[in-house]
Amino acid sequence: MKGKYVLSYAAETVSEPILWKLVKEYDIRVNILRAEISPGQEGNLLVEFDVEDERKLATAIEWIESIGVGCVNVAKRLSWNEVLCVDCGACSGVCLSGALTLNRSDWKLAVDRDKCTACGLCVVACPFRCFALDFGE
Amino acid sequence: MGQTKKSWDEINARIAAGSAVVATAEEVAEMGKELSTSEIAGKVDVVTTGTFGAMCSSGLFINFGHPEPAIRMERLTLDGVNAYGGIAAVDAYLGATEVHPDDPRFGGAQVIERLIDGQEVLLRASAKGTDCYPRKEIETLIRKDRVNELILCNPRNAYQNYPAATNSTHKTLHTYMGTLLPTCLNVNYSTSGCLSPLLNDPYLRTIGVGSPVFLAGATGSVAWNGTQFNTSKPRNDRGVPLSNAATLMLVGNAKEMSAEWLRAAYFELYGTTLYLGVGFAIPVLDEDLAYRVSIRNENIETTVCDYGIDGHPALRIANYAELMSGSIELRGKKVRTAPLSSLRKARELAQELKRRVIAGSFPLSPPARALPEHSSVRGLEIVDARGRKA
Repeated sequence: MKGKYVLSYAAETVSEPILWKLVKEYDIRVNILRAEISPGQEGNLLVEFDVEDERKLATAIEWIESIGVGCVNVAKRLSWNEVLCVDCGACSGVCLSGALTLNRSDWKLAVDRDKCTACGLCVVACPFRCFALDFGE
Repeated sequence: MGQTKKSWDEINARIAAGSAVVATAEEVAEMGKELSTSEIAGKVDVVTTGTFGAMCSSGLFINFGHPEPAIRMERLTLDGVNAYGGIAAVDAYLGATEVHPDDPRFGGAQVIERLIDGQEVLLRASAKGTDCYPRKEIETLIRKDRVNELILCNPRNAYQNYPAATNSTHKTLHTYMGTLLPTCLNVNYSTSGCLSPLLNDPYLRTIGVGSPVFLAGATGSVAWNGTQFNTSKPRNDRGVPLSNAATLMLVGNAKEMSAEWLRAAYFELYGTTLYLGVGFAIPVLDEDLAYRVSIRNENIETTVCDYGIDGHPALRIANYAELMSGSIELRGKKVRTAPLSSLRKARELAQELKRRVIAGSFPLSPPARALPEHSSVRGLEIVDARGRKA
């Protein structure tokens, strides 16, 4: 199974080889999709975890959180204000991951958060500011 | 063309008798797959159209009423957004694209939406003070039920077709055609295709000065041709212009409008704009009009232009069936396409207009005057005081 997570590092944990440990000890294939880490400060990593054994993922997330690193599923990071949305579809053209698509029969926007890579292009492309992404808080 | 002929009066009599057949432009396009033009002319009396998209050239005339003592407002703001006050004492015009000096995401469009939605808006005005208008300053909350008139008056709406946009450069562009990713990664388009009002009457036989229009939920009127009205654009074999051509100046009582059909928007780094719902009811007077209104998305074409290059050169012609499919081919590559106007809302608008026509609450009347037959658009020449061109 695959899942995308935002790992938020506190200043004192940035030096730990967290990703190495995830690969080595938890058998997780880690794919870094985006990184924002500034020296001596907090940082954020957008990663994709690919694991065979779901239990290993659960224990890995437990370990990550135990050392003070935040771990939030990306699916929870994209917020969409459905009330403001008029289903224009302007976001769908910039969503390269395919998370935002227009249903070609009723022409309503379909949001599949599992496909979101938190790139943030929809946030600026939407004329009604329906999207927010708290990547990096 | 053929035999069927109906007058405006005959169609209105059918509506009054409850026997008129009214269909949306999408429904009649579907009928066109099975029925001939003459069958459609015999069967359908009225076709309703609709669009819900960004129309930057929009704004609101407001008459605030006179305070005691009176003021001749010169500089004024509404929720901090500048409005034009150089119209008599207490009249103003608020343009949709006027932006707040401290917040580029907030502008005239947002204030117009607030007013139409029944919210209070802060009016601040100042003046030099005159013998007849002694007051020099005023600050008050206004609301739609406390002002005399709110008249939406839009110099250029309902564009007949519009080019689709892409970007060949290596940098993302933020435009009024939305976010254009580098290296032609996306194409944005903005019409409702076969539902679009002026694509269903491409030679404007039934739409002219005085024509009733569904404008943001109210019944407004065509005041005049819109600005940049252009009849010189090339047309395809169905008579549809291949890029932006005719436009309409629309007016209507904004107090009767609804925020369901008028929404403020912001295009990143471009500014504020107004999304408007606009629709016309087109009478099927004869077979020529039956032919026009039964047009399908594949028969309507537009030009895909490169917004990364000055002058926005054309890259190809694409039809709306292709554009609406989600991708088109561009320079040998499959490129994703996305609309900027809401087809979901355009459909709802055409259905709403159909209900109003059937109920007799939306009038059908012939134009008082035709729109210009010949008109082209010029650029702005830079000329100095001696008449020399740059």
